[in-house]
Amino acid sequence: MKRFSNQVFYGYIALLFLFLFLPIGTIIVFSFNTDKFASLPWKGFTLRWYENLFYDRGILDALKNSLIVSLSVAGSSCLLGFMGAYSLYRKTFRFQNAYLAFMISPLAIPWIILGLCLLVFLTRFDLEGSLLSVWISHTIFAAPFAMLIIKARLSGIPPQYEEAGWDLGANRLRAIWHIVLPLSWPGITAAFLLTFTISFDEFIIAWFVCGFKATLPVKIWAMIRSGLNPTINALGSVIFVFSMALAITGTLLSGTGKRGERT
Amino acid sequence: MPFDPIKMDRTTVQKELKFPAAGFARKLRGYKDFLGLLPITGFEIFFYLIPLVFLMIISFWMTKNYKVIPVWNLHNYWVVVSDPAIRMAFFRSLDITLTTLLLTVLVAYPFAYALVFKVPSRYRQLILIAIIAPFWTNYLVRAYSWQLILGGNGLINHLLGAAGIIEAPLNILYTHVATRIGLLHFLVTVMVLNLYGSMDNIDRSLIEAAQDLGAGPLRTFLHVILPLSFQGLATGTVFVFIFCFTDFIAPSVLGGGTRPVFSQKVVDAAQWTANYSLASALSMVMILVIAVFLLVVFRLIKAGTRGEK
Amino acid sequence: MDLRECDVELDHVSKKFGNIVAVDDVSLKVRPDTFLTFLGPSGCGKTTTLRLIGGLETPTEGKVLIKGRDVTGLPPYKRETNLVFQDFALFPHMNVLGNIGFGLRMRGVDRGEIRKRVQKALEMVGLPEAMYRKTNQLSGGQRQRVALCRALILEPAVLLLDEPLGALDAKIRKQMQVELKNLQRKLGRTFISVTHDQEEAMTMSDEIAIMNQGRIEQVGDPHTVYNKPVSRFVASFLGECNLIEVEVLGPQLGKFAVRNSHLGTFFFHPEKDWENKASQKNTCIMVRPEHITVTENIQDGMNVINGTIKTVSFKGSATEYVLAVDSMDVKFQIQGKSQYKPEDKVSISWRPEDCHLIP
Repeated sequence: MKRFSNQVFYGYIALLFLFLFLPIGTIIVFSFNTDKFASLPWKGFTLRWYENLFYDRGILDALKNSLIVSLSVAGSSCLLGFMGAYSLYRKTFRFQNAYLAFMISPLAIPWIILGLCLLVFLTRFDLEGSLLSVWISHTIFAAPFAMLIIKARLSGIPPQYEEAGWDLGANRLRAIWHIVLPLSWPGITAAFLLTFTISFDEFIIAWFVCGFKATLPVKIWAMIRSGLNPTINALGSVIFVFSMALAITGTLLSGTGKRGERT
Repeated sequence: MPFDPIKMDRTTVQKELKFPAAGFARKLRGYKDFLGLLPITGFEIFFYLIPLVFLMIISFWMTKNYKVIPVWNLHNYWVVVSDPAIRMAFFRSLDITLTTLLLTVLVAYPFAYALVFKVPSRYRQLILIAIIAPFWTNYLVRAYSWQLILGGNGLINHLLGAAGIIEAPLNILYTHVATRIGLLHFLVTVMVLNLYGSMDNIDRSLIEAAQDLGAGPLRTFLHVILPLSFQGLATGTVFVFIFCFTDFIAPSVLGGGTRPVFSQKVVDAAQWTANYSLASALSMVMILVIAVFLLVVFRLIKAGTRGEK
Repeated sequence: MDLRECDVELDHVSKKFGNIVAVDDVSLKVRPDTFLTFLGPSGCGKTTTLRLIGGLETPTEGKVLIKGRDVTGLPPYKRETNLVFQDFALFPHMNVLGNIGFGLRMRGVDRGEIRKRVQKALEMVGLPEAMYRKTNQLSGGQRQRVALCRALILEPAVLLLDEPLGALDAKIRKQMQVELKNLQRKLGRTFISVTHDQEEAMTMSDEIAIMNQGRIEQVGDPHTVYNKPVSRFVASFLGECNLIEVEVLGPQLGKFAVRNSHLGTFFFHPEKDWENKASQKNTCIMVRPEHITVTENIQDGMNVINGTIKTVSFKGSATEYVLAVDSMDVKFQIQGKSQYKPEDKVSISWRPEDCHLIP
């Protein structure tokens, strides 16, 4: 009886995995299909849709914009996040929990609202409709996220290492550079990869504030709106594989897997 | 250092005697550690807190000719409450949210249960990474890929048609059934992770005790596992609710534009009519709904944990 | 003593962590070329005091001076002290050369010169091949020597050591005690060490500062502190002792006398301020077990107690006996094999010079 129930459970797990990976698998498979529709029987194998990616000016521009924004967001988030994480590592203070709750809140509030309020706010300063506005908007939730990841990594470093550095003649900055940074690089790399991925995939906030400077998700949205287009399959497949690889590397580097975290 | 008592006034004496350099340097060194928090906190306050507050404020202002005018009024909220299209969208969102929530719980619980209690521990980490992986991919593309599956010419219709089960293609895409599927696909991972987290912490000896006392698997589940995993269930529920109620992508890509949801109304106000004050009023209502839900869940958690004892 | 003659001075230094007072109004002057050890139980504040000298903590009150200079506000990288940490704190991401050479690198010494000096230092401690090894490939003893090199290569005015021998095996520990002492003598610099091991402190130090609950109870050379403790805490911390409650009687029969209600009258040799001690209540006298012998002939003017032997323990070089006398136990120790059995009735005595009055 027990074995039967175990099999039922294993079967259920398999079923759920099927469900989870079905769309990913579908889009990858059909990105090679000659036919425009995701239909069967299979019409023919082609790389045509992938070739299109290289010739579509709109896609390439959007890709360029996304790379610029996401790399900048990852960079600024890791910088701001490291500085904050370092302070939290060195000293605890009263109301720290309330402070952390506030800092994490951008990850918790609905991003449609975040996008809206940034649109309204940035418009006042004539900052909207540029990559700068996307960069600002993404850093708002990416920097605290990076701070959390780096803070977790830092807390595993005994304070004696830094103290030894001071004792041997390194001032605060030099001790951070020579001792703390090297010892925390896995956390920083993880934060970089993960914030890059989140920013790269983010649609709604970018859509609100980017104006005509479309990022890749915004471009994809436009393509979806204009009807079924197999090039999207190719583009989507590339993005899937790319994001998953980055995310898995990032999660592995950050030590313990993060549970229940939002993209 | 000779002190001339006649020339001293009280403050000088106090300063000299209290080792001034040491004291000041002492205080200063404490604050150096907090310098690192300044940039990120400043950034968040200026680009996050202030815009949010500003948004709240303009929900009470007016928009005329695409400009926001600081005239205090409740007109926007009146529109939100009275406009039939908006009301319809509101209840549609609520409906989708609650049904998806139920679905997610029903689908996720057995999976989490199996993962914690049936799968040998050496595979668990692997399975966890495997279900987290799709979570990190582009949500928009994932929603779109359901179009390939659910569409009139899509995978399901072709398979069912080829198998002779149906004659005409099923109309799934561009209905909110598709929306729910798309949401479920994203959220089941979240719910599983939350449930796994709290189920994993359940003391196995409690389960053994229940079984010793003669409880069958169903009763063990209802009376031991369910209450003790309540925490994870609650957190997961909160997340699922917030996400479903505010999501824009799944209803738009999969649900079509004919039966708009609340989030689409926000986008309409903001992007198409540029009525920022209305958009912000809609957002405030959204936040209100979420807050109410949080309160309800919070109460339930309290009651639940009291029951635990 | 002129301020400039001290290597380290603590002037009414206190350190509070929130409501907890770790160091309570500590004042101390350390002469040059001294090996000083802070000795005390866990939590007595000795490590905090060491960190205050090194600059890793800032005092809540008071001044810290090094070589006459007020360094209270100065961070560790501006002080002429170097600390050998309890677990050595060798940088895991650098090899031995990187670790030892770190301080020199911070001072801008060029790479070639650093390599030369590090090699020389390694040869001095007996690790000539270790330069490019990673720190996790070293044994405990080797790591300690690397940590010592790392600190000493910067030629600090004061070397600070936090429980330097704690992480070592008992066998190496004894050897290192002697080596550290010799190192200090050879270099002629002040070493300040912290330990809870009383034997270690006695072996290595020129001066011992015994701390309890944030305060220094006594400072002195090992002989003085052992034989003339100023408090019961110091007496019992430094080894076995017998404390007998007495009431001071004053001069009697040419010697000075105290009396215990049960055990009778004892004589002791007066010290400088016996009058101050005498005027306080709750005085006691202390006798170390090794100063007590078994007597056959009882004479006047001797300190004698009669009792029954309770336990006998053979400890290798000597035998420990516990004598049951009236309401208390007296411990004494005789070299060599045990000659008495439990239940034996014996008389024990000690010379007046060997007991000490504690207020």
